[in-house]
Amino acid sequence: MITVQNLSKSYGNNHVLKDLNLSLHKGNIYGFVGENGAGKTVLFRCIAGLENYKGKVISDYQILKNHLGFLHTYPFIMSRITGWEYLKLLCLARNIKTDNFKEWNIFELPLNQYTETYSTGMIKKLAFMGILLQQNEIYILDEPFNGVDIHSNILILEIIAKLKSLNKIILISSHIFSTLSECCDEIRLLKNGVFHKTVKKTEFIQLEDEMKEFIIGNRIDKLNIK
Amino acid sequence: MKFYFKLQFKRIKRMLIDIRINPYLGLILAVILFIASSKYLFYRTPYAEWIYVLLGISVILKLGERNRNEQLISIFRKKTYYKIRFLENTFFAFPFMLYFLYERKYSMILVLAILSILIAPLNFKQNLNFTIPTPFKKYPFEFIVGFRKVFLLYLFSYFICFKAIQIENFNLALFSLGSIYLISVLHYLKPENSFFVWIYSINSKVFLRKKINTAFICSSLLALPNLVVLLLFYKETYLKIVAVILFGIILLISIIFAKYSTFPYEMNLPEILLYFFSLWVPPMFLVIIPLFYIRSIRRLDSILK
Repeated sequence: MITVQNLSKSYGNNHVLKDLNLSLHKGNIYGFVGENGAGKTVLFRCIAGLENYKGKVISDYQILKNHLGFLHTYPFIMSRITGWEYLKLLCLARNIKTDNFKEWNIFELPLNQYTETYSTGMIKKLAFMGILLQQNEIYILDEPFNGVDIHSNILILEIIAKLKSLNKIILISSHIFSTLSECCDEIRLLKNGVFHKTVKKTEFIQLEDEMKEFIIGNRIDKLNIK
Repeated sequence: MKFYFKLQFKRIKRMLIDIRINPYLGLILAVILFIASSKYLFYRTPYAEWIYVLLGISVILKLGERNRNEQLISIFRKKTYYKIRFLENTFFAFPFMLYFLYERKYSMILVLAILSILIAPLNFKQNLNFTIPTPFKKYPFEFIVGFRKVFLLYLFSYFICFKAIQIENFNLALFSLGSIYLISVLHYLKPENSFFVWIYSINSKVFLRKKINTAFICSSLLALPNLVVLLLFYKETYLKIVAVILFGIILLISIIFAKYSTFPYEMNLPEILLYFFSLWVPPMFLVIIPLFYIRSIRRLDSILK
C-alpha cells in the first residue's frame, strides 16, 4: 500500500500540487485525468522520488523507488545505444541478470538497432518492456497509449490487466478517456492542483459526460465554422 | 539571416551561463586556450600544419550534419541557406587561418579556405543503421556510447603505438598507452539524464564503486593492445608503464567523481579548472578526489535515497 499525505509541490510562486491525499492499494489500477499542465506528471514524479516536495509518501517498502517502474510520457533514450543495451542497463540497475530479451520482445522491436532510429511509439514500447523486465511492484504509466499503434495499445491494456491480477499497484494518466475507463478501478480528476473529483467504475460515464460538458461548452460555436 | 546569427550567439551565451561561465571570460579563456594549444602543437611536431588543417576541417564538418541543415533548408531560401553555411564555415575556420598567418604558412590558409568553401554545400548524414560492435555489451552505458562516438580516436592511438615501435620511440609508445585513458575520460564529460541514475536500487557509495569498476574494466580492455606491445618491446621499463596505467586510472576515478559532484547538471568552470590544473600538478588529485567524492555522494543521495 502507498499513502500520500498532504503532498504539495511549488515552483516559485506556482503552486502545482496543493495538499493532496491519496491511498493506493495492491491489485488496483488508478487513473488520473486533467488538462495539460494540471500536475499529473509532477504528482507521479513526486511519488517516484524524482522531485522534492512537501508532505509524505509512505509505503510498505523501505525505499519505494527500488520497486517502482516509471514509464515517462517521452521516455529518455541515449544516443548510440541499441534497444538490447537499453534493456540490459535497466536490468543491471536492479541487479537482474537476464540477457535473453527475445522472449520478452512481444512488440517485435528491432533490439539490435540504435534507439535513435526508433519511432516515438517504439521508444515507448521499449521503455515499457524495460520496466516490465525489472519485475516492479508499482507501475507509474504516464500516457502509455500516446503515440503507440492500435495493435500495441490492445497489448498494453492486456499487460495492465495481467499486472492487476498479479496484485501490482498501477497508476495511469491518459488523455484518452476510453482507455482509462476500460482498465481503471478509480479515476481522479486533477484540477488546479487538487483532486477535483474521485470516481469509481460505476460513475465513469457520468464523469466523462461532465468533462465533455465542461471542456466543450459553447467553444465550438465560438469558432463560427461555416 | 541576421536574426539567425544573433540567435546562435545568444544560444552560446546561454550555454556558457548555464555552466556558470561568464560569456566574456569564456571568450578570453577560449582565445588563450586556443593560442596556447596551437603554439604547443607547432612546437611539438613537424606535422602540425596538417594536423591543424584536419582539426579545422573536423570542426567545419560538424556543421554539415544533415538533420541540422535540413532544418535550415526548410526555414530559409536556398540562396540564404548557402550564405549561412558559407559564413558559418568561414567563422569557424577563421581562428585557424589567423594562426596560420602568424606561423607564416600562407599556402595552408589557402588550403583551409578552399576546403571550407567546398564543404559548404555538403551535408553528412550519420549512419545510424549500422550498429558499431563494442566489446562492452555487459557494461552499458558510458563505454558503449563513448566507444561508438570516438572509436576513430582509439584506432589512432593504436596506430601511434605501432608507429612508435617502428621508429623505436619509447616515450611515444608510452604516450599512446596514456592516450587511451585520456580518450576514456571524454566519456564522462556529460551527465546522463537523472532517470538513468534513479533506476539503480543501490546506495550512492555502491553506485560510484560500480561506475569505477566499469571504467576500470573497459579502459583496461581498450589499453590492452598498447600494453602488450609495450611489455613485449620495453619490458625492462615496466615501472614507467605501471605508473602511466595508475595515472590513467586516477584520471578516470576523478572524472567520475567530478561528473557526479554537480549531477544532474554539467560540470561548472571551477570543477573543470580544478581537473585540468590537477593534470599539470598531479598531487592536486589527492585534494580533488576526496572533495569531488564527498560532493558526489551528497548529490547522488538525493536521487538514490
